[in-house]
Amino acid sequence: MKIFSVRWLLVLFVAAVFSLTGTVFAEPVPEIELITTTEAYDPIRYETAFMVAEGWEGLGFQVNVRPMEFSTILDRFYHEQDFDATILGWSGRVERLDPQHFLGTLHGDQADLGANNPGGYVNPDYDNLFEAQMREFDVDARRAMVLEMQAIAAKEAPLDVLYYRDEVNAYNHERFSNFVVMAGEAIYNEWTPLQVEPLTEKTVLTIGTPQEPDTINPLASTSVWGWKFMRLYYDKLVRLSPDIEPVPWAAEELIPVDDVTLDVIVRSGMLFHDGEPVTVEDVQFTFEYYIEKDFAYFRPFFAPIESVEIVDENTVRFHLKEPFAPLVTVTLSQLPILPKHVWADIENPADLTPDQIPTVGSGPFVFDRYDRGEYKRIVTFEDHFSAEDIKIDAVEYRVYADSEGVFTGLITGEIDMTAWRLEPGQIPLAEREEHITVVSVPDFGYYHLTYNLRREPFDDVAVRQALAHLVDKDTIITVLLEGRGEPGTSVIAPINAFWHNPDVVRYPYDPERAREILEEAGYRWDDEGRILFPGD
Amino acid sequence: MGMRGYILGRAVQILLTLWVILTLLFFLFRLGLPDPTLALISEGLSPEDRMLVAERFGLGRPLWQQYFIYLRNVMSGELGTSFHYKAPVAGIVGEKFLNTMVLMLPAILVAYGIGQLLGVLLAWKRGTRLEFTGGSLGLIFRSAPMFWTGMLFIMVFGISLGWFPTSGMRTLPYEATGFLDKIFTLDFLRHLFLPMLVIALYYAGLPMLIMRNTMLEVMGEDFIEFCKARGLSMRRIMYRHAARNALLPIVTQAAITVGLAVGGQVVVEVVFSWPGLGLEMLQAVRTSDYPLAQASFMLMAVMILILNFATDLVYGKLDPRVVYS
Amino acid sequence: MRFDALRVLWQTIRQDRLALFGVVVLCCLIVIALFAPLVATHDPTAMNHRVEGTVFWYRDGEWLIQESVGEWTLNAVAFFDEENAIAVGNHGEVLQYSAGSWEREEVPTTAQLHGVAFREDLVVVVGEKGTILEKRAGAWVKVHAPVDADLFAVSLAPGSRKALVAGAGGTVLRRRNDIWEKLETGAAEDLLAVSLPAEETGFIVGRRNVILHYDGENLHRQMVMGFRDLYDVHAPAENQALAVGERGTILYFTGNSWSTMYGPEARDLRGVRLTGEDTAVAVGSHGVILRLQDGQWTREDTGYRRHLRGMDAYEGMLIASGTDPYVNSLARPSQEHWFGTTHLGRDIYSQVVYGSRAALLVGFLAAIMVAVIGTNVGLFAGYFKGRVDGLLMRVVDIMYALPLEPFAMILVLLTRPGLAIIIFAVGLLTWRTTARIIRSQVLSLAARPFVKAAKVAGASDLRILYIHIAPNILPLAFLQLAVSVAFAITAEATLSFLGLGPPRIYSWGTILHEARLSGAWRTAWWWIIPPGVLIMITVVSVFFISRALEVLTNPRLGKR
Repeated sequence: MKIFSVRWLLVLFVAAVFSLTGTVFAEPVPEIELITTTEAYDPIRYETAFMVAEGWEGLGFQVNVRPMEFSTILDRFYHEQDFDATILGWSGRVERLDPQHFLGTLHGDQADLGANNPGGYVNPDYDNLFEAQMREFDVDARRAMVLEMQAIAAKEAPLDVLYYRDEVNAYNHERFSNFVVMAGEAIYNEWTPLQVEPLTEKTVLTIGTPQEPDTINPLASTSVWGWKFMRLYYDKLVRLSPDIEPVPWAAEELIPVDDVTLDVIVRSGMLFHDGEPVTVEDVQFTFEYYIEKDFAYFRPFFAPIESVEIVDENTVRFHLKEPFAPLVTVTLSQLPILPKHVWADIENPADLTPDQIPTVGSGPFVFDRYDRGEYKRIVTFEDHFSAEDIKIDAVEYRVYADSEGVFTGLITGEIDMTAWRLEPGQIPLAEREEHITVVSVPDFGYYHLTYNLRREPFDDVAVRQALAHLVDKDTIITVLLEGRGEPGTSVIAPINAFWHNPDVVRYPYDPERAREILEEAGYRWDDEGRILFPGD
Repeated sequence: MGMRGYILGRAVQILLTLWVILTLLFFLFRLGLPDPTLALISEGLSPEDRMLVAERFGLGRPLWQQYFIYLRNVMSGELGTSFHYKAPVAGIVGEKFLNTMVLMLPAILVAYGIGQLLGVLLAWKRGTRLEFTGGSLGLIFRSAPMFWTGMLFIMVFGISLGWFPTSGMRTLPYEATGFLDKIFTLDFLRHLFLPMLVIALYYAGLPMLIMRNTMLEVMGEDFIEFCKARGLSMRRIMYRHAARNALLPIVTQAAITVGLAVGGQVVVEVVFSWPGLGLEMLQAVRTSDYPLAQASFMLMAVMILILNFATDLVYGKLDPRVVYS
Repeated sequence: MRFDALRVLWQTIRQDRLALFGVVVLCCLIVIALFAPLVATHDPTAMNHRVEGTVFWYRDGEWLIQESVGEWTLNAVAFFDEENAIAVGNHGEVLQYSAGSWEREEVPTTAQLHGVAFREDLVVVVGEKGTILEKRAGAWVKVHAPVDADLFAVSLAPGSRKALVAGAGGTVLRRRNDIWEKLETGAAEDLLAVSLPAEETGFIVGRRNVILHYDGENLHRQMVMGFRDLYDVHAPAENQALAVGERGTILYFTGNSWSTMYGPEARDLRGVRLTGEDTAVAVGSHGVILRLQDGQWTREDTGYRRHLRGMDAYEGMLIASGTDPYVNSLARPSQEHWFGTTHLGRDIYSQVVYGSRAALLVGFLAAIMVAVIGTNVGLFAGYFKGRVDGLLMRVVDIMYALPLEPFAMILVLLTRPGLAIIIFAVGLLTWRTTARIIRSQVLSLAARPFVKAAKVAGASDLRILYIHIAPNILPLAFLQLAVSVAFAITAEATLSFLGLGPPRIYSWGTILHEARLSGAWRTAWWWIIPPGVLIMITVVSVFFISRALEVLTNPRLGKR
């Protein structure tokens, strides 16, 4: 009797275990919410999301595509990390050619709220390499580590790099020649105004854009559009050449003293636009002012600086807290030189109203006027050391409501060049115009589909790899981008050839392979084709 | 109660309505829209940095405190600073409002001018083929969405024929010392023409029909017969005497239209890139720039309320039968 | 009594030709909306592809395009002389050009064919899974290949029967003395193109920048910087070669080393031929054609966007073939697509058909909401007067102060784009007019004797309201309903045009929204006219109906 009951208990227990595992076994993979931009914000990303969803649904995933306003996406993605999968992009700003920034987006330390790794990928091996490459001054050794990090990231697929989209600009070749083409910035870069040559009587270069600076306050602007404008009337110690090599600009020479000290000899004879000379005091003031006001947008640039010291009337010395490889390429090429006599008395620069913002720089152009929402103009500064090489008298910017307006302006000859990419639909129309040259430049930024690794099923590397195999990137490129782009492989784009790892593992569109991967990992499908978690 | 009492009562009413709208707006925006510090800060700032920005814009406090601060600010005309422009909202909204009005007022004027004349004509020629086609055409123009006619006009008159510019208010760059200087130019008129035409065509249908209908009513009345008996010409009777009597409902409708026009026709502003209040508000909402969106919305509401009020007063002046109570 | 009202309604409409027209149009639309999947010819979201064999000729200084030469993609093409050429493609397609026309050849395979080489007495065709065909003495023979890898390209040495074939996974085959043999390459990448300027020399290129040099006996890998896939190579002489590939890559070889050339194109280049000492032509995806002259590559535009895959040259003449499945974008109206296609090859007719659903759904639901709220508020305010009236009219005042489009924008952005929110926004904001109009009518009705009589008879307020007063305002309510329908349809189109409509659900406004976003609307009239016309017809139909109803509520208008 006793044995009998024990046996019964055993049977019950086994049955219970079975039923439990049975229910676990039957648990379907939850619906995936795929966040993307609205169609109006970016038609490409919008369509891409639906193509991705279609691919995933082919293997029994339930996908719900949610187009959202851009600010909402940033909120959900960075601030709340409340997402399953999100399609976003990183723009290819020049200072991001250094692999530091993009590799950092997968660093474990950046996985907390608000930081750059919202997907939450954490891999100690990767993190160790990241720390090591940052301090490595030998370029080849650093490159080896950077390549390895890309290989790790590609294998573990914490995100799917979808595509690199070419920046397509256009200009009127009947009016101007000698446009400078630069990776990531196409023709709207800081060299074009310095080098274009007028072919007609028109010596004012007219640029059309739908984008506006958020402000032209060098201590408040946090947008590319503000800085792309300001950098023409402010000088920087270093400018990055069209080949993205640092060339001394307002600096005459850069003399590294040791790993943490750099001497900068400031070019002599420069003047601010109000006639005052540019001195080492101004340079020292600028950096100290930015550090003192703690301008957050530039903080990564000036954070490694311990102090700036005046050595003699032409030399300033930068003391660093620790070795910082990108000091010259990033910090010195980004911070503008501000006139001390103008800014020294301004206590709260961020609070300046638009009409109080000083516009005195020492750059090759002089700020002339700015009508918000409509028009900007800068004129050539005759006393600048580069003035002799500048062939135009002024640069003017017309602001349009959207890229449609810019396009019309281009066709009708209202503007000489665009500062904003043409949409795929506009490109063939522009190419057909006699007076227009279309320039297409690969970008080193990338568009990515980032999974939330804290959530099921994305915590499983097999699922991530399988999902990557289900995205038909070639169609995205040929159809949506009309061939002007490239399927993504790594967070460092192929155009960034030195740092790019061309041999990382790839995930070609292959639903069969995806199914195999999932089957190997134990995933099953129910009668309706819905994918189920592995049970045993 | 006399006129003064009536005005006072209405003013209180308007204020109450405004308060309700303000409250509604505040909660809609604060509860529904994402954290604006995000739209403002480029990608990749640390949480501490964002706190600083939030502090600057007073977003750190409890909601109810924000509400009272908000009400107080609105009372004192302090509309806040646009997150996007980093400039006072009042100036931006004011300028955009003027831009909208210089588009909408001429458009409505033209629409009502043409619409009334045609309406009289239709009533006069009632029962004829002219009335039939005229009436149908009016309805057809009223049925075609403005963004669509706008696109067609741009396609035909802007791009194919190249007669008119297709976007903006002025050819850039231009020198203008003030707003009036900016709009009293031929260039402005050229820019104005297409969008104005689109709006006018859309709006003309309504006054035309109202005019026709009221005219038909008026024409049945005795004094018309009296005029006829006096041997006045039909044209004179129609346009001088009958039409005057039909003016009342037209004025009412016109005022309501103007009130609603404050928001601008967002779609027309979008299609023609007209830098008006509607377009600005669309942008503001999209980028969670809620001081700007709130102020725009508020301005629209205030204008509508005031114009409705004005209509009532004008109504009284035109029609002595109305007694204020 | 209610039935009477409806009957009167119908009588009125029947008498008015225009109103009748409106009713007919609306009924048609309702049928279309209900049976949209049957009426539509395509899936409105599908990007419609086309596959065709296309041949581009360059003769006497201009490009001639033969759009449909066969029904399959033509992967490769080879000239023999001015009058003779051959093209091969998928599904065993082999087309021979002679005496001015293309003829399909019967061949013993249906495999995908990737490469072709043409000599007077010998044609060699290669394709997937080790397919090799030879045409000797006018007859096609299937040759047994020593591998079963996919073969991508073949080249015959001039004046000789010696050939090299490049294939998947580093495969290279050699034809020597009429026998096929496999060569050791040491490469594992797919080899995609081969060019033999002479029996003893040649180049093979492939994925990941692989370049192999053939010295008559063996293959040697040449070290070249880069990692791009190379799709074609052409070597007219042993010390001159051009290779093209992925992302506009162009490499040239002079004697002993390869260097990079910069072209104006960032898209894939798939074919290249040197046409003279220092002139060349390259073709690629999306109809890209580049010409090298005076050391400069320039783009040539034929206006075609079809992908080109293979090319060959003969004494100043060029021939290029395609095309991959291409999206039939921005096609004008045709039998296949009645209203043409969008920039992504979507069928506009089907979108317009499905669009009727959104318009009618929003139109009627919002209008019913407006009519129900508006009529009831009007009834209550007009009947009870006093405080109830005051309160309700204050709410109406508030509603009047809210501009519709901005308010709807906020609502949509607070929640998510969708038809429900549009219905809600329109319904919530536009009952105000109905309420006012009904109220004034009720005010006068309430003073009428029959209401007083009912009150004396002891009827409850609600009973009086709904049994005695309501039927009398029914015509007015219907009129307001019709006006609201028109308004709601326009509002839906407007909001969708602003991009506030639900994703992937086509409405007429959404179609126009996409047309504008794409930038193609300035030329693609077929894209913007149909949805606009439909909005117009629908709204005007409703107006016609409402005008007939107006006569009912205000009989003096009917005097004609």
